[in-house]
Amino acid sequence: MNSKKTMRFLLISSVVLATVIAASSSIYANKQEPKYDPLVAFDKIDKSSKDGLLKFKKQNEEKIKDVKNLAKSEEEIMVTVTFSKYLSEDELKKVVNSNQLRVHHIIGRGVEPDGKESTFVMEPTKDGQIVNKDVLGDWETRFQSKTKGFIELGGYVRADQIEKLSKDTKIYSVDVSADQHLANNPKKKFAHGVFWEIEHKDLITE
Amino acid sequence: MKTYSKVRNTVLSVLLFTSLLFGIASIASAASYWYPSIGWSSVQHWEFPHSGNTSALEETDSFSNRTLKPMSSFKFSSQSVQYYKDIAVGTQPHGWYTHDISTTESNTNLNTNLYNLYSTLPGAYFDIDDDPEPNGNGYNDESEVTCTSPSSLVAETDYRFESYFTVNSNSSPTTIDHTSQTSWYDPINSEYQTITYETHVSRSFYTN
Repeated sequence: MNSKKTMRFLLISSVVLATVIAASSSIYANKQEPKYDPLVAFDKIDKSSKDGLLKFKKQNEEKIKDVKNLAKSEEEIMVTVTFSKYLSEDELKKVVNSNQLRVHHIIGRGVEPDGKESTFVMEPTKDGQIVNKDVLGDWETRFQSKTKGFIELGGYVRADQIEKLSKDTKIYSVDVSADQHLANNPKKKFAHGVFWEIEHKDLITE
Repeated sequence: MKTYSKVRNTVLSVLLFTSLLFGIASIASAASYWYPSIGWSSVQHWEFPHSGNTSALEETDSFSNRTLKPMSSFKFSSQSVQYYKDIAVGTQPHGWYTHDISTTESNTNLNTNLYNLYSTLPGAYFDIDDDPEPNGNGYNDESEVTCTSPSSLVAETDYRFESYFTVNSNSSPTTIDHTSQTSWYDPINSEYQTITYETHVSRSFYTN
């Protein structure tokens, strides 16, 4: 009888224990990393000082090492590139071609007649031109905006090219925080670049 | 030799004539149309731009590609500018001003091309989305710009945002809303959520 009781106790305990373990695993499995939000990531950057922005640059260098360890060499990494100065169209093309970047979009800056700065974002043309001259010309005409240059870029680069990209002197920082190896980013949102911040903290090179 | 030259000249003439014909047809078929301005001069939420104007330019190129470019221009009051400066500094999380140009119907087949967007808001951050959540219908129906540097905002001056929609040939009647939003960090979902919003102007397109 005692032995039967013991057996029953052990059986019930095992069932309860198994249920608890199963439930905990299920909770753990369902616990997902929050979706990547570019504004949340941007808000975490200390933009109040040069030091804060230099720290951000260093953090990005560490993340590049992380992503390089996680990705296969031929895999493409999602990057937001902030240039170190206003780039001309030729300089932009050189940066893209020499680093084998696949461009998703480029961001540029203009200035309107009243002195107000404009920001624009463009995707490449269907035939692969990085700068859509029709769209840019349209804005320049209608808003009388004078283009100052290109400031940021969103795109993809092979993992084995990413360190070379980050060392390009025309680039301030390469942000990989939105890449799938580091973030839960189902809508593939690109990180927000920091050109406005580095410009207003005198960190651009020219 | 003479026959070859004659044939060559004929071919060249035909090519030249065809090019001219296509050129004339292209010029003839490219067209643009400005939709009349619709403005606003009061708001329910004092923090939003107190006045503004909207318009839209529709263009058809020589290949019959149609583009609709809705735009907003708007002014903040000095209290409003101060509000957005205040909520962007100090202890995180912060709040941001966003101007949104989107279709009311998320199942529209107008398509916002990311990245043909233009704004004079300081520290402009652009985004587009394909609603309804989670997977949308394959057409980006929402475009927005967020001012991520409100410390540079100036009161009583015009700021501008222009979006860029591809008009698909079978576009059904569509309404485009010009909306102000204030977004705050939502700690539960770790993302920015729109807390207050106000649509300044709604404009209908393709109702015929």
